[in-house]
Amino acid sequence: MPRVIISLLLLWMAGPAWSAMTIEIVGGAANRIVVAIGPFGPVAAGQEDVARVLADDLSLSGQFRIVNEASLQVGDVLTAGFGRMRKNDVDAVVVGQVTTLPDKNIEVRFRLYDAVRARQMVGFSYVVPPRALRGVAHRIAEEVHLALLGSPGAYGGRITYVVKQAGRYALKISDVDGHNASSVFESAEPIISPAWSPDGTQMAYVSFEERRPIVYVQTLSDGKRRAVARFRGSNSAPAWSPDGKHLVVALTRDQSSQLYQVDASGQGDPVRLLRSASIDTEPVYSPEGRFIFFTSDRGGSPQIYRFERATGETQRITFDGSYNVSPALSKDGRWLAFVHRVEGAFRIAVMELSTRQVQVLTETDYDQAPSFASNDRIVLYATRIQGRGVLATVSLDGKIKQRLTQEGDLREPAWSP
Amino acid sequence: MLRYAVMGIVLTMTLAGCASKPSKEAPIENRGAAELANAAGLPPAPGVASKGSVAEPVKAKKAALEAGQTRPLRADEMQAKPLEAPAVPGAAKTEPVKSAVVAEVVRPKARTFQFAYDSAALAATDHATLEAHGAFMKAQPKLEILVQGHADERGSREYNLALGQRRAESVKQALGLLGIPDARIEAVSLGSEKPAVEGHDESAWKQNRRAVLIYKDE
Repeated sequence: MPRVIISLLLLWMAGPAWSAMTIEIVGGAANRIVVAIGPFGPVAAGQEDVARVLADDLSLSGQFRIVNEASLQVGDVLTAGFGRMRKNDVDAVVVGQVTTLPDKNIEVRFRLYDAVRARQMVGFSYVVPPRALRGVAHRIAEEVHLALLGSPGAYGGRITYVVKQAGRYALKISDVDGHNASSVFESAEPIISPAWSPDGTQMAYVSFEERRPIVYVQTLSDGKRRAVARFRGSNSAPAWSPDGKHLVVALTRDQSSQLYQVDASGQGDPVRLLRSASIDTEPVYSPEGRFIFFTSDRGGSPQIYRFERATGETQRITFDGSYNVSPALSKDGRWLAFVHRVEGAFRIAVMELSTRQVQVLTETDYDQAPSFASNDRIVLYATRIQGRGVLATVSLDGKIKQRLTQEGDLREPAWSP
Repeated sequence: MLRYAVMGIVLTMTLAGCASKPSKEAPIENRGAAELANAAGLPPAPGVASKGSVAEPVKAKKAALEAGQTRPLRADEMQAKPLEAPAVPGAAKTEPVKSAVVAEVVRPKARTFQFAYDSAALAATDHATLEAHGAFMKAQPKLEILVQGHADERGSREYNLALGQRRAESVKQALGLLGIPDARIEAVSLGSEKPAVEGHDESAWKQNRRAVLIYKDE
C-alpha cells in the first residue's frame, strides 16, 4: 500500500516534466553517418550534460546515428583506437571535456575526428557561464554537422508556437529542441499568426482578446506591445518587410480581406496595396523585398499569387489542385513552401521557384503554417496526430521527419530568423 | 422592391459561394452547385440576380467558369420557386410595418446562421431571423451589433479567417438591405478559432461554419 502511494507521489512529482517538449524521429536519411561521442566529464547537479545534448541534437536531425564506444574517455585529444571503432562502422568521433574555471565559468573543449583517416576535422574551446551550456552543445552540433555534411544544420535557432491548454492560449518561444521555453503572451482568447521581426527582437501576432482579431507587435526583451492594426473589422496575417520598418497585413475595413501596409510603429494610416473583389490574405515578403507572395481566391479557388512591389504586377504561382495556401519562402528565395490539398488532405508541399516544380513532402492530413528553418533545408509546420495538435519538421527531400509534442495542443509554429 | 433586392443578393451570394467551390479536389463535403442552391431554397439560375445587388452577378458567373464550374444548369434546376419565393414576413414593407411593429418588437433570440462548405450564402430559412433583427434594430436606433463569422477547422487559419469574414459580411449586407446602416453593424471574423462544437467530423464542421450576431450592449 505505501508503495502505491509512493509511486503515485513520484508520478505526481514527475508532472511538470511532462510539459517539456518531446521529439521523435519518424523518418531518417537512408545513409546516416555513424558518430561515436565520448563523455565530456562529470556533470554537477543541475548542470547540462553537454555530451547528452549533443547526442540528442545530432540523432534528432535524422542525419546521424549516435553510438556508444566504451573505450572513449573524457578528454579533448584522441590518438588511438580508430581501427577498433572502424570495425563498429564508426565514421566520426567526438571527444570533449568540461572544466569549471576558478571564476565559476565553464570551459568546454571538443574535437571531431574523421575515424577513417584518423585525423582531426575541427576542434574548439568555449568559455561560458553555466546557464549557457545547452547553447554550447547546440553550437558543437552545428560545427559537427557542418564538418561532416558540408552544409549548415539548424540546432541553435529558436522557434515560436502557440500552445492551447486547459482553454488558455500561450505564445511561446523555445530552443528548436523545445527546451528553454518562455511565454511571450498568454490569453484566454486565441492567438494566431506569430511572425518574427527580421532582426528577431520583436514578434508580431494576432490576438482575439477584444472579440475580433487585432495585430500586435511585442518587443521580446521588455514584453512591451503595441497594436499595429486595430481597424474596424478583422486585422490579421502580419508579415514583416525585410528592413523591419513596416508590416503587410490583411484588413477587412473595406469589406473583403485585402492587403495593406502599416508602419511597424503603429502610427499613420494603412496604405492599401492591392484591390480585388476577392479574398487576399497571408502575405509574405520575398527575402530581398521585391515580391509579396499571398493567398487569393480571385481565380475561384484559393491559390498563391505573387505581387511585384515596384511594378504592381501580379502573377499566379500555384496551379496544381484547387487549394494552395499559406505561402512561406526560404531565406535564399529559392523555395516556396505551402499547404496543398490533395484528396481531401492538407499537406505540406514545396515548389522550386526557378523551375516551378512541386513536391508534396508529407503524408499527414491536417498540415498548416509551414516555415523554413534557418538553414533552409527543413520545413517546420503544425499538424494533427490522433486529434491532437503537434509540431513537425520535414527535410526538403521529404526523407527526414520529426514530431515535437508537448502537453496541450500545439499550432502556429515559426522558425526564428 | 426591397424584397427582391434581398433575394437578389442572397442569390448572387449563393452563386459566389458555388463559384469559389473547388471542383476538382472534392472537399469532404462536396455538394454540387444545384444541391447547394437547393439547400438554400433557391434556384441556381445565374441570370436572375437582380440589378442593384451589392455583389456583381457577371463576376460571379465568370468566377464560376474559372473555377471549372462548367456543368450547364438544366432548365428544371432553374425554375423552382423563383423570385416570388417564400413570403418574407414583414420584410420590406417599409413605412406601414415599421409603425405597426415598433411597439411590440422584442430582441430576437435566434442569433446563428449556418453556411455550406466554402460558401457565404445565407439560407432562405434565415430570412425570418434577419427580418426580426432588422425590425428590432429599427425600433432601437442606437443599438449597434457585431457579427462574428466562423469557418470550420480545415485548411489555413488565415484563409479561414477571411472566409469567416465573408460570412459575417453576408449577414451585414442582408441587414443593410433591410435598411440598417453600415455604421451600426461591425462584421468581424474569428475564423476557425472558436468552434461551436469540438470534433473533427462533418457534423462538427457543419455547426462550426456560422455567423453569430451579438448586440453590443450585451
